[in-house]
Amino acid sequence: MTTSAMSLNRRRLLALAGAASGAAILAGMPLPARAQGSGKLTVWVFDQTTSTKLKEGFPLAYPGYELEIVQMPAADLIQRLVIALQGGQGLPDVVQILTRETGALFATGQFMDMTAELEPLRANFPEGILLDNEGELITFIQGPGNMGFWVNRAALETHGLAIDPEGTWADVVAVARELKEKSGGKSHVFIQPPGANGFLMFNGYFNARGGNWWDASGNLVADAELAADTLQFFVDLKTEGLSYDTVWSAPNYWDLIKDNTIVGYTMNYAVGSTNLKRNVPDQSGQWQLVTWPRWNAGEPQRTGNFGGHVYAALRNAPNPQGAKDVVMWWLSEAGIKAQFETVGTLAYAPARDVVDLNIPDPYFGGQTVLSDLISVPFPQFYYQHWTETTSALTNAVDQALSGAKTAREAIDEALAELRAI
Amino acid sequence: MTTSAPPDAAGRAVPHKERPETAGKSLPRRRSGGGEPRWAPYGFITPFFLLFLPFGAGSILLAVAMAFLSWPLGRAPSFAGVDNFRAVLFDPVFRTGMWNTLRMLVVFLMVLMPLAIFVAVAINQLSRRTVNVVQIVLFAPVTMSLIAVSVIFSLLYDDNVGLLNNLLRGMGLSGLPFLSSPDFAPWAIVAMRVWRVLGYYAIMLYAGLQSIPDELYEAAAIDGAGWWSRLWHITLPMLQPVTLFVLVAASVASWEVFAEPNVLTDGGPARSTYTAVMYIFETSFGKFNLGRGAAASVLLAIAIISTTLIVSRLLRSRHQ
Repeated sequence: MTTSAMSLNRRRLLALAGAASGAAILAGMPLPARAQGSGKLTVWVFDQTTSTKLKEGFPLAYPGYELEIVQMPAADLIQRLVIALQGGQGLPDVVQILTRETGALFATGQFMDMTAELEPLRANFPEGILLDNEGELITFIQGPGNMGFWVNRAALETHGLAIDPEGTWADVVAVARELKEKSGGKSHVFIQPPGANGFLMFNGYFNARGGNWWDASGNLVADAELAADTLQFFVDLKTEGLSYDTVWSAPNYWDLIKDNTIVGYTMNYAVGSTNLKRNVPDQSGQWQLVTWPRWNAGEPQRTGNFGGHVYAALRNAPNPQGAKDVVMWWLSEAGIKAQFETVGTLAYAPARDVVDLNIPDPYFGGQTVLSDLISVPFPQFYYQHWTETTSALTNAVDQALSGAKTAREAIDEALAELRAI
Repeated sequence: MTTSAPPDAAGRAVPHKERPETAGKSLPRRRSGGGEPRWAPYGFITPFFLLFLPFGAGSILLAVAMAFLSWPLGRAPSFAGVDNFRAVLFDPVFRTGMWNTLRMLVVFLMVLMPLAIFVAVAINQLSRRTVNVVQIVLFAPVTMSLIAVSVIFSLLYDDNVGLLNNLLRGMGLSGLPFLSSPDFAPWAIVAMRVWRVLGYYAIMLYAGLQSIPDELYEAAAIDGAGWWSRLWHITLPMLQPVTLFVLVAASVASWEVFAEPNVLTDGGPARSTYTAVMYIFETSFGKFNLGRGAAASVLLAIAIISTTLIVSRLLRSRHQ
């Protein structure tokens, strides 16, 4: 090979790389990995699956960095972060935190403004995925908890019943009543978890109806009537015996599904699909995803938010460029694949060009569960003052379900408590 | 204490310096060369203070100082006076936490103390070989992980599939909402705590029983005192120092209860098992308000010290 030929090849290579970069920008994806960053990078994580992917994939894209991943339980991570922020030393560059923790943490102003990186990509994210504070974009939700309604279609069919995928919650309740009658009160298409999980489920319904407790600035904006009406729905399910008191983390939960005590429940992808398939493999082909029934016929379909996590960079990160690179790596091709292989759900439009979300799932009768679930977004939701909100609203849900207070009284009391913050 | 000195021939207590066996002899001198050096005792206690001063006393002082500061996360602190204390005291959630902790503490002690004394007295009746086995069995629950115990009890208490409710239904009774009703949940947690620590405190009381001289019981028996009379007039009064320790230790542990309600009920239902320490934890690491969390800690410490003083005073006055 001659020198001129090599030079030509290099030029051609550079031109191709330039064209690829331009195409990527046009497609709304961040540039492929740039290798100029260097120095030590520390990332605190609570979950092994996604962090393992980060540990494997990030150094390939950014070989200049010395990446250290420190794994610890989620609660420990928050305590350690609080102490590091308060002490002003020992800060990591990036932390993985639950979406529910972001409101109070981002409000401290201690997280990096990533507006320059994320704003150009805004159109690629559905509503509710980008998280901000005081107008600064901070990060995006990974594994967004789009709620779905998971139904054992075969179990319902044995009673001559079916859930209409285009129906409303009132239609589902009508089926639940018939199911109760025909199964002698044994089978249920709703569950009622105790405590904070009960509130989180209620919150999913509330969010699906456009409800928010707070706005982006932390002002209380809750619609008491909407909240009370949604809570009354829960109370009625319990009063009528249509919901079964349990939680997906209960040791006998999957046994209750196996013996058809539970033939339907509302949940995110992780529990609704991944855990169901793992724990009840024998019911493959029997289940169905009803993305999310509407509250009223004719309304646009919206689901509720139930969790997820984020990787967020600290404002005072020792390696600011590295911190940004870690967060943005998750939107590179390798990062998208890593998200797909770990959390499954991806709410980022260009991901459809990298991974195939339209995979028919035999467990759900060939439904394309991932893309169907993601196709129904949730309205923007603000996790401000989340500890106080969880405490006050869990109490409200408990009081209403026990009959100690009406749904409206319980909501009014909770909102009065939140107003006093 | 004069009572600890051995009596002389006339039966009077003799101070140690004048004991006959040492009178006229020179006491062994502390040497600076060989034997036990003068600084040896200080050397032995130094490691404790090296750790206690920064991590014990230092932390306490820091917490008290933080209670008077407004210290937003990642920013400089500023003096807040008594604002944090005012905010905590006027917070109905804190008052709920304190009230729940107090009522669970009172019931816990009322159930634990008679049971522990009863078990200790019962062990005292057993042969030495049996006692060794029984002590191991009784002590076992306190060696188990608190989280593991809580998970096991959440299964026992489960409304639908719990062993207790299955037993009740087996007897033709209806099940009880052990953890799902505000009327039952606090007491279900108290029952679990009693089960866990009963053996631990019973063994302490049993050790106290061992130190009561047999002569007292023999004299009482000669005087015609029955079992109940001996228990009431000899055992319980002589056991008072150990009882005081058990009461104080158990009440301090009760004020600090956190893991059990956190695992079993998460403070619910309807905040019926929400405790003072849960409030401190939530305020500090959920709301990130370390100043207010520290103020709540100081108030809790005052409650603990007050309880300790009241319990000590009550028992001492009864003794006197």
